[in-house]
Amino acid sequence: MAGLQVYPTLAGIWYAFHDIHLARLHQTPFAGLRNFGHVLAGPFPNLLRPVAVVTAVWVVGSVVLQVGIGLGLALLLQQRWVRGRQLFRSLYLFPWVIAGIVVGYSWRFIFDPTVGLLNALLGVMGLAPRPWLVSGPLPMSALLIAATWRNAGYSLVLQMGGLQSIPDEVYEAARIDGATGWRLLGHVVLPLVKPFLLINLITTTVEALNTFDLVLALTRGGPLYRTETVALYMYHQAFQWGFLGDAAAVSVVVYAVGALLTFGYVRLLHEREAF
Amino acid sequence: MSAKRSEAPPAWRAFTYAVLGLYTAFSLAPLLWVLTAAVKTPAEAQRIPPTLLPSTLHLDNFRVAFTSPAFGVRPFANSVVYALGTVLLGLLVASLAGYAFSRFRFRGDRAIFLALVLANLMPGVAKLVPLYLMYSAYRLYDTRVGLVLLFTLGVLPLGTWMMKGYFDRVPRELEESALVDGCSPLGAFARVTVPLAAPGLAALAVIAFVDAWNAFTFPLILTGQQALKPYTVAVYGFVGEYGEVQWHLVSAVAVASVIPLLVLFVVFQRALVSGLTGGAIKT
Repeated sequence: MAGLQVYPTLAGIWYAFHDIHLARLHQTPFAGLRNFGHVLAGPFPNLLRPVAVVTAVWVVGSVVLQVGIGLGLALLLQQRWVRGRQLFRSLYLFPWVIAGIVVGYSWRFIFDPTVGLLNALLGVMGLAPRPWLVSGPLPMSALLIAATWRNAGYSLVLQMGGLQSIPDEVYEAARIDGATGWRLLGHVVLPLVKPFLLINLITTTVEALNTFDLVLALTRGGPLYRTETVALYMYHQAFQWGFLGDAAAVSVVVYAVGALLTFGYVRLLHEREAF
Repeated sequence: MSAKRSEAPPAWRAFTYAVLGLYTAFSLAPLLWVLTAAVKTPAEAQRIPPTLLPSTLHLDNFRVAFTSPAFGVRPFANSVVYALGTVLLGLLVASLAGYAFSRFRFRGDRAIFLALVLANLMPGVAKLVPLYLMYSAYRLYDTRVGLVLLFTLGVLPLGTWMMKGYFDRVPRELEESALVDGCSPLGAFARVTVPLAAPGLAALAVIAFVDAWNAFTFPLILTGQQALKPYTVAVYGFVGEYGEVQWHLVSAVAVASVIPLLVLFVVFQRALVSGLTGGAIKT
């Protein structure tokens, strides 16, 4: 089983160094670093411009919004006097189980400039309709909103689990020591939920690097590659243009970035623990 | 703690409920929008500006979508088969593997376990190209078995990890007393250990079902013929076929796809939530 997990990874690395095209799968001459050259400095769109920038905005935006909102809502919900905690949690988590492709189309429908919900709501408030998904920073914002809608509930559940793992005695002791409000949060609560934050950061980052269906359905990477994240770029390279070797080279880069980020999160959260 | 109760000032309470209420509206609005669009007549669905509430309860959209040659019932039937297959195979393999990691020490057990966990952290999209070539070479391309196998592999890392956690909490003494009472080791596993880890199995079954039901990328790449496509891939083709998207029909399909998820979610929510956080506590 572990072998079946590992084989595609190793095979992917091998393909990255060979010239392999969808149209002639049995001829795979050695290509050295040429595939990496193509994707890094080849014709637009390439990995550096604009894919890396788009992906960075997408991943950072996803992580900040989803983990931030998840943690914020968890802190609010976890207050003792809040009623209907389970109901709120269910409502927030439910979008997370819906297929990415369905979420993507639902939001494309909402953002539709003529028959969409958003412009209809603007109309009701007496505001002019806007061409969502068409220009400027709006398409990426739309993607981030849709992804947050789907995934923030997962972060919320994880962080509520973290907050519930803190024994009541800890709060009691902190209260006796006079820690309240922000100081309680910063010095007592956050350090204790660190393992939960860590797993949340890692899963959200990997999920964002991986997200393909939602982006394909909502913006298809457009307009003009403004939302061409690395997952879409890899798909386009391999299955639209047929450059399997180039796509494999991208996947090696993605592996490396994913591993580095994971390692970075572990270092970041563990070093702080030492203080 | 009654002291805490009086500590929260009314303004803060109002703020808390306002934020929770706003986020509730944000969570519900898209669901309601798609649900209402699914019951609008084609004429009302194309009206500009759109109506916020449907003036009819037009259930005919579901009939049109499910009898249309461009969509039909087939994709949903395929998804049901894939999802149930993944649940069965995933539960079997993940509980056996989780049990092995929980109870036995063997050479390289930690390394294999770590490989499973790390494989889960790597972006799946990066595996697309090797999987495509591998599936072409081994005649798994365009087969039902190939898809179920892949979906199962997808849930195994988390599943094994989760089941190991649940098995760790079943006391060894219970199994030993079953052995003393004349059970075979496999009998003890099936009759004592598995029933005690039932909440874990339920959580895993839900996660496996949802994963396979929602899978899009792998079936898009790894199936060729229309007859094998799950609903996710079919809806992608369905939207692509028209320049002007028929949102009332897409909405009907979306609603139909969400109903099984809603039922599972309502029934197994506790198991799902405990599975998600139980996995996290183990790190």
